[in-house]
Amino acid sequence: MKMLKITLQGKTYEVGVEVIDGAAPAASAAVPVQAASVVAAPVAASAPPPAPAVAAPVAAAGGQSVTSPMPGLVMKIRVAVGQQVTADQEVLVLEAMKMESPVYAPGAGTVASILVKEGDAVSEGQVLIQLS
Amino acid sequence: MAIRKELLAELTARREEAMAGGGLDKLEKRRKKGLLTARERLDDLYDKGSFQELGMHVDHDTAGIDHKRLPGDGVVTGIGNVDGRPVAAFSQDFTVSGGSLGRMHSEKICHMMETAASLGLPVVAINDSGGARIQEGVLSLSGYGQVFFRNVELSGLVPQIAIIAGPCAGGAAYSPALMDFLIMTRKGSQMFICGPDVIKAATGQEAPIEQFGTADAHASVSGNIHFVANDDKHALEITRRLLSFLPLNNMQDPPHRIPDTIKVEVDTAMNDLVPEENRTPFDVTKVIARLVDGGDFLEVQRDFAKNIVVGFARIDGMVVGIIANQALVKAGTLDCDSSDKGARFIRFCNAFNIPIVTLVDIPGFMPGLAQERGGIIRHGAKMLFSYASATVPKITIILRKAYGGAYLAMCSKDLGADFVYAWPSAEIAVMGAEGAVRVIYKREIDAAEDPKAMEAELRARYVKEFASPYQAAEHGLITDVIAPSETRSKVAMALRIALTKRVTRPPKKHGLIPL
Repeated sequence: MKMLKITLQGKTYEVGVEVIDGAAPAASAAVPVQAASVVAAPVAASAPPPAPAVAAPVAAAGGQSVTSPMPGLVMKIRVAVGQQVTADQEVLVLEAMKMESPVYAPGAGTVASILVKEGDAVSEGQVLIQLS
Repeated sequence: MAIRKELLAELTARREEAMAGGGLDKLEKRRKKGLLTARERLDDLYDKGSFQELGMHVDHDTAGIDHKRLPGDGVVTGIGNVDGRPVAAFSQDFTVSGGSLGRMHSEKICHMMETAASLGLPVVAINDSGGARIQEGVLSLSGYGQVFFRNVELSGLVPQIAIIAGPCAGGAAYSPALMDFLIMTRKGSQMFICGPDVIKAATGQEAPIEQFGTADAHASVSGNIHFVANDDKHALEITRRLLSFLPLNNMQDPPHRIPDTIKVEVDTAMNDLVPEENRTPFDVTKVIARLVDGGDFLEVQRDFAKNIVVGFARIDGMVVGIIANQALVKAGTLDCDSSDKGARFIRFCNAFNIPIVTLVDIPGFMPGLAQERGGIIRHGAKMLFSYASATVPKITIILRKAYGGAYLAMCSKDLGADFVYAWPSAEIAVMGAEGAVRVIYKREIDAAEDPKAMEAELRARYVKEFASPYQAAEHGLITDVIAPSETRSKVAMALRIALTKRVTRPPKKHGLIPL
């Protein structure tokens, strides 16, 4: 447990922060931090900045990322870097809620990078695969 | 002895002027762009020759432009037949002053809506307007307000369908938003409160229109619309198809076509749809396709919150609204968006006497920080509220997973389902085996010599005992366990019985759905 001092609109709060090993992946790191500040802030005094909206993919060509539709474990990765994919192709399988949950490419492209490996825990909206 | 010729000639001339809208050249330009004119849209919607116009000779009363005529004040209103049944409509004419809404324009729309309300007719609103007529100032604004008020008055009284077939910006977007179904054409139509320029000026954000204002964006991201149409004709085709499932008003039954004889069919192909492994998802639309007459299913909001599937069909001739969990997407969980989508559809069905058939395959509400912070509690509550308050026949079929609160939320017996069937593959339990065993048998597992083996054994026992339909059946929580192959016949028979359902509840102003 780390103790942090946070000043919000002139009021100082002491906040305990627990750093968990193998912590949440970088893409979702913003959320827990922000959640902590909400807890510390007096409810009415300050509105927290709006949560970063998970950009819903609107079909368009190239440079898209495949994001996780929900929290879960990466079960199978069905593509390799450099591989061509078509829109709606199954690129990855998550295990979530004791179910296999297929994840599809939002558009056609080439797999530029794969940011997770099988067995990884992922959060909602996390980028799993980058297309180019 | 005959009417004076010049009187008839004047009538003909006036009619021609009205029919020409903003001018024959402007109409021709639209056609060249592949768009229908305002009147052609109505001709396409209605059975040939059945349209009766209301207020063809209305002109504007805008101060300052009184030297110019605006035929019909930019909108055509009237009543015609769709498949032989009367339906009221308005169609905004973009060639007349950009389809802008002036006082007479809104008065025509309001008059048409009042007529529809008193005659009990559905309303189709074809939107193609640049917005408020600025020259009329606050009178134009007031016109919008009067249309909104009537949208709300008609809500639940007659079905209201909006077609967005052109610009629909700012306040104008709220009339369609208050209606039951929105159909938007892919080409040439836009809908938003603030456009790209306003967003940029107010927030500095670059906001390309494709990301928020097009038919595709509204269908898949915001969920503001229900159907995407390729063009005008397609939009009108969807409208007619939608109307074919709906009653004219809330005092009628939907257009059931019940056959005289009851057929009991066994559909063995339905058995083949269920995978052996319970972690493998299956496509619920395949179940729907086999369940409904001729595989004819009009899916509503197909591209939004795809973890729930909703839409209209007939089963043995009876119109039904189908609500189904789609395990292929987000494991079929209920999240904020899918709860909103499901609840809204259920409420529409209930308002218009359409029986509800629910297909359950749900592992739970969607877990996660984003969902909790997004208010999954209040959104999920809308499902519970809508089902429990619905008094139409409710038939539920549990195909596979039915866990915890989500089991209740999918029209369980406790929420008032009239008939609940479960396939032998159904798993009706408070929670999945892994979690449950750790909670119930924590001590036993910890005390065991080989805790892992003990846990596995207990898990197997739990699955056998709880992850089946029989515990629920033994407690009378389901009507029957049926083979998938029997589903269509069972549901058809149940529907026939349930169509006479009457529910009386204490009168109140209205319930308070947690919005």
